Amino acid sequence: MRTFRRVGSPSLVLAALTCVVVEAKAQVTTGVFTGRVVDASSQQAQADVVVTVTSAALQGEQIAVTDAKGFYRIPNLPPGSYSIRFDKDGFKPFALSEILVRAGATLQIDGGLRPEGMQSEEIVVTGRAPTVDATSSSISLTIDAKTAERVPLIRPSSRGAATRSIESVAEMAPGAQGDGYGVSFNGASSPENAYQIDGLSVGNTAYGILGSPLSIEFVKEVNVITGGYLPEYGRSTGGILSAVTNSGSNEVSGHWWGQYSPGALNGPRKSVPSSASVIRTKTNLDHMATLGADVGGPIIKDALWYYAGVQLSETKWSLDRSVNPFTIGADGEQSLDSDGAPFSTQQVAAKRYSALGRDIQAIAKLTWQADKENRIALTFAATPRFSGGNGNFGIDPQTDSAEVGNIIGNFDSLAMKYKAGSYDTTLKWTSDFDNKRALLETTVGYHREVGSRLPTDGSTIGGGGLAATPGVAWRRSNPRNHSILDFETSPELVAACSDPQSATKSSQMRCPVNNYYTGGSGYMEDSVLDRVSMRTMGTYFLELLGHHVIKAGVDYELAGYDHTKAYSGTDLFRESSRGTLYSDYRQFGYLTDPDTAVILDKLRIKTSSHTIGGFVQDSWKVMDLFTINVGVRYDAQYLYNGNSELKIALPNQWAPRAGIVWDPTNEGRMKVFANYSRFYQQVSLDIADRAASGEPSILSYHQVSSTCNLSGDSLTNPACNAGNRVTNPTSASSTPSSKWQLNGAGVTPVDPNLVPQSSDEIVAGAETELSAISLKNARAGVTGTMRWYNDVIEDMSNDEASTYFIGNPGKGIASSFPKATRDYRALTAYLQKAFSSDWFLQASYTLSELKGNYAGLVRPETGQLDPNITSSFDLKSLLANNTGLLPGNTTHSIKVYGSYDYKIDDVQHVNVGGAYRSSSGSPYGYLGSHPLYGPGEVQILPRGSAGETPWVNSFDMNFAYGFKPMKAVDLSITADIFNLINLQSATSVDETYTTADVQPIIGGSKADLPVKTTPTAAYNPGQLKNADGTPIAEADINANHGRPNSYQSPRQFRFGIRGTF
Amino acid sequence: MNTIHKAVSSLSFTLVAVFAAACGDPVGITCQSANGEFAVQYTLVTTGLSAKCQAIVQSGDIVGLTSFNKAGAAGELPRYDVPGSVALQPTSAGDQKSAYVDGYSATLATTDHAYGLGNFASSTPNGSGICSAPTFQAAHMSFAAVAATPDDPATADVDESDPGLPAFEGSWTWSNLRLINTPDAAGTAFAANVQMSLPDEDGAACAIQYKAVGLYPAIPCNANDETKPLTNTDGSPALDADGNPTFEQKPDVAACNAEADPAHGHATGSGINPNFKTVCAEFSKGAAYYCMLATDFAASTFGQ
Repeated sequence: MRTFRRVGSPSLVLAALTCVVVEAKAQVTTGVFTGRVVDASSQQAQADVVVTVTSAALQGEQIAVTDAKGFYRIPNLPPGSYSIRFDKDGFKPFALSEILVRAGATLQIDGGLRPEGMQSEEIVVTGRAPTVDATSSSISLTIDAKTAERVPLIRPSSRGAATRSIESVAEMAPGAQGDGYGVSFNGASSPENAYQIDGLSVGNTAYGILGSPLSIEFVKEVNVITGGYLPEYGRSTGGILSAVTNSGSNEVSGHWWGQYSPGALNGPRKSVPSSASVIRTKTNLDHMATLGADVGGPIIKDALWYYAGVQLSETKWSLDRSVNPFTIGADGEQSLDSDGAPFSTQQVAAKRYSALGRDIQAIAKLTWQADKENRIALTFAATPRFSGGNGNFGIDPQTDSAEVGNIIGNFDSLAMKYKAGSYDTTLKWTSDFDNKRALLETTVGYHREVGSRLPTDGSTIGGGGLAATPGVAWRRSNPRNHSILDFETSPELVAACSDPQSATKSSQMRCPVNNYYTGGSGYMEDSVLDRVSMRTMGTYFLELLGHHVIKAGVDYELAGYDHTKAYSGTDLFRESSRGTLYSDYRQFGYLTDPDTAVILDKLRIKTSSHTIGGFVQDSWKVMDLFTINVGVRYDAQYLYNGNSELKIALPNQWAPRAGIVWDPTNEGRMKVFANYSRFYQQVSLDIADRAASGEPSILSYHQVSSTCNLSGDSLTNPACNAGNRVTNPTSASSTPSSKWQLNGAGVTPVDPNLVPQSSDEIVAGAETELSAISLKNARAGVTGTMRWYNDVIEDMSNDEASTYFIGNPGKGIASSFPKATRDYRALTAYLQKAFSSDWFLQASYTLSELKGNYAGLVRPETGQLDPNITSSFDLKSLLANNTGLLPGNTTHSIKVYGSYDYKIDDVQHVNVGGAYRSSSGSPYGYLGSHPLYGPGEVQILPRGSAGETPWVNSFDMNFAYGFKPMKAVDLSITADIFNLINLQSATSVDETYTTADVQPIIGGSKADLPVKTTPTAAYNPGQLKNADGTPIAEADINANHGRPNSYQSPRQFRFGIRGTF
Repeated sequence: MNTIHKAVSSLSFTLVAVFAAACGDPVGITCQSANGEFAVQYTLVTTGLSAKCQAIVQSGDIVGLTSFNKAGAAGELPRYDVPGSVALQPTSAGDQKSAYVDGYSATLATTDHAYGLGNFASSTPNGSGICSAPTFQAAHMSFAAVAATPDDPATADVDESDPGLPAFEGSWTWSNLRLINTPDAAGTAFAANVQMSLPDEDGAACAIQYKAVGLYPAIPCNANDETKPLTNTDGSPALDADGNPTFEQKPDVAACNAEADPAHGHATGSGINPNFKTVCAEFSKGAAYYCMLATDFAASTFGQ
């Protein structure tokens, strides 16, 4: 609170709150002013004071009148900079300006009016723009586009960097970290978050990740809410990411921006010592470029505004492929290094490929203030993306990285063309009644996403070209692998890979390849995902033993997933390990009788879900002493399979919330709070598409012959494959079908007593303003969070992979499975100084622990994104030793962001920003192979017991030079440098201890592991046994265990130019 | 405008409340069998068999089952809403077929099969979680005799003699198949009747009827009885292909356990549903034991 010497004029308080305000309540995209007006001399409450609020963000002005107790409330204010003025006859008017309102923020502005007659120069405590929101216990962070300009925030190689998406700024929140598919909060996985733009839910209906990566340039602010929130928000066991788009204003204004990240300037990156493959591909960012502009203004002043914007961006990765023949010793065998692995000293056939992607984003918005009490906004936003084709590899839209890591195969067989993107239409209508004592808000919207992964030659499912050519996976290994010369025959390769004396064997020794792909494109898909969403919410202010803000709402959502999948040429062939047969490794189809097959050239499955929800909550400032927040939410979700049959019913999702907030100062300067919440997870449609509808597949074997040898023309000759079908070598005497075999997932049954997936949370904390130490607009605090799962929905097998079902581990038909656990505990200390007096600082330290046996909707060990049907809980034998520190555990996390703005003169200024991020490593363990599920599926010791990857530190800086060449035009030139000193810490290590099938050492420790032969002691196999009970052989232990297999991104630059007009 | 908004809002509240009450029950599992080999125990029903027919009575067999769906429209998923069918093929039938067809290139008539095929009575299980297939097309095979080949005296060091095979006429008629179909046990156990007509050692037909109970997966539960080593006729220890001594087999109930027991050599569980009660039952005198459903459990599940 600032004090002024009053000299008889309305006082103005410069209180430029930018960037960070604690709180945020609703998918409400507006803020509130509230407060009490008194007579400054007598401190008596004043009724009938006229409170007027104006802003460039507001169409016209908003007026309220204080009640008998001197209270006023003005809600429904779009984010922006406001002026507030208090007027009453007999008093001098009093005003404040440049108060920044954030979406969902409640700002307490009390007024002290001086009676007209007052002469003395008393120091009057005037109203102040408060820093602490003392009515809310929710933990959140608000980031606006200006912050993203001031501090180095969006690393070029991160997800959503080219489009500068709203998600890419969310990592600023304490405790947030990227998990490959988005940002995870409080130990949850990114598909568990709820994503909203202007109140419309924009998550991907099938996978739960962000569906609309809208650029932050079009957005006023992004609210990242990580916990402690009221039931207005629900259906998420992660965090809430809510964005409010820009609106027009009474003045025509706009801005334009351009950015370029040159990969050539990247710092040298440490490369991973290579694995036993002769083909190696190095991936580097070639460049990233973005260009955009927006404009907003009035169509009718104070009544109808427009806003429009467009942004183009391009990302190019370069993939440098080379062949590195192994060194052959004098004995004609591969020479081995000290770890017993073959190595190479040569590099030939270097070729550069590119992965290229382009995004176009567009937004158009109309805001209409129909009358004093009604505002209607219509927004349309589109984010189409394209990648691949024209000789380029594509970029996987789910991870934003090049679609292949190592190019083992033909370009035509590996490269795909991707289309993705979202199209969102939202209509929002807000009305207020009764001198702003009641509010009604209705939002109706349609979110539509497309996604296709099609052959690189532009052919489509059902068409010709690569789409009609079967793909082939070559994997002969017995007695020897294929040589690369079986597929690639450039003179350089022939010279390097063969030995004139012993042609075939030598080239197989020198240049062996495994899992080499030729032929058509293999798996293709085309999907449309959409969501119709309707919600209506009412707010009512009531005075009864204090002040109540009562909210109630209902919402309905219809989500759809129309998914077509196919294998090119209806079949993906795989060579047998002996090379004499090939099988239909992937082919959709089913049997109607023994050996009577129906082959499906594609599978088109349309699944849907209905969700209804409702809530009631009260935020009660009891006798104006402390606030009780209490409420309950109800949700029910029904998922339908491809035949429109109800497959999964999840009603009765009652989620209570209760909390208390106490402000000892009663002036919005300090608070202590505690809150309990229950959250339910909205189930994504992937489970309805894959498990509840089934992916029927059949398999047969074919003889390799001179006419049908899987290369070239023989692939597309149908007579060749049908005629070449042999008796299934895996069939037994008792198998009714001798040629065909069922191969895919049937329809997975669901436990009739399935309960919804939910988690509980307790948060508590304290926060104080820092004016005591003369830091204006700064807050510091401590918060503690505890989250744990109640029940989880997963697919499981009771009978070691014979049959599967969907259930809750530990309950119902899955009672014999251990419960799924994920316990998160964190303590965060933070300091936030909003941008004022030219500088800004945000610092946080989070100490946390994440342990359990279930990481969430993403399986981090394999990167599998299949919400609720990951392989985590498939078999009981996979769960041995599975409880421990989870891969997302980051014990220490430090984030510091700051910026300083220096005015050179009236026309020029320089902004310097910096970021320091430091986090401790993630735990890793010892993995072995499972007899049924294969490599990496057995935890030899309890999860995470091998240790932690090293600390990762990063110093980032940015510089901006700005100048005003003329009035109302601002220009600036910027440079961002990420990882300034090119630190190269390992970010992941090889966790494979052995590729042999082994038994876990239940509850064991490192002392139980084998000890290698030393000069003084023989090999000791310890307690580790193969699956058959024999002790493990020394030769089966992976020498590469614990060695890094990825490093942090190197130093990267981004240059930019931007202007406003 | 406010009144319109209020009206729209209240309408939404009512619509959602109505909708909340309206949603029904999810559809359950569709009739199917587990796909693969079942350990099947036979209980003889026929009485008064001749001694030669008694000699071919079996105590059990490994029987393969596969279920099928009726075809959907072109390019569409199969018709899960229409009853499918199920085929059963005993190993002994498959071995018979293989002996003639693979051994001597005999051909099987197109209407003859080693498997019996029957339709499910309905596409979903009844209230007790059982799917029935009451009648089956019988498995029938008929092969002509294969003459013996004498040794060719011209090639003294090569013995081309071959005993040939007698004529074969046999049939397996399954009926009253009851297959368990609950979300946690999707077609992994069944009870049925089977009428076999098989030739005895003289080629005369024997009609033998059994009650059959089958369990998936077929898990052998035998362990070496170290106190009873097998010996050759001359008294020397009988060795297997790897040169290890062989023993008589005894039952090992632990092998049927659904829980993994790495300490005792069971890296994974048996794969048998933990809710099934099992015993380790003898299959052919002293040589093979397989995990089977306990009699009382089978009786209460299938009403045997």
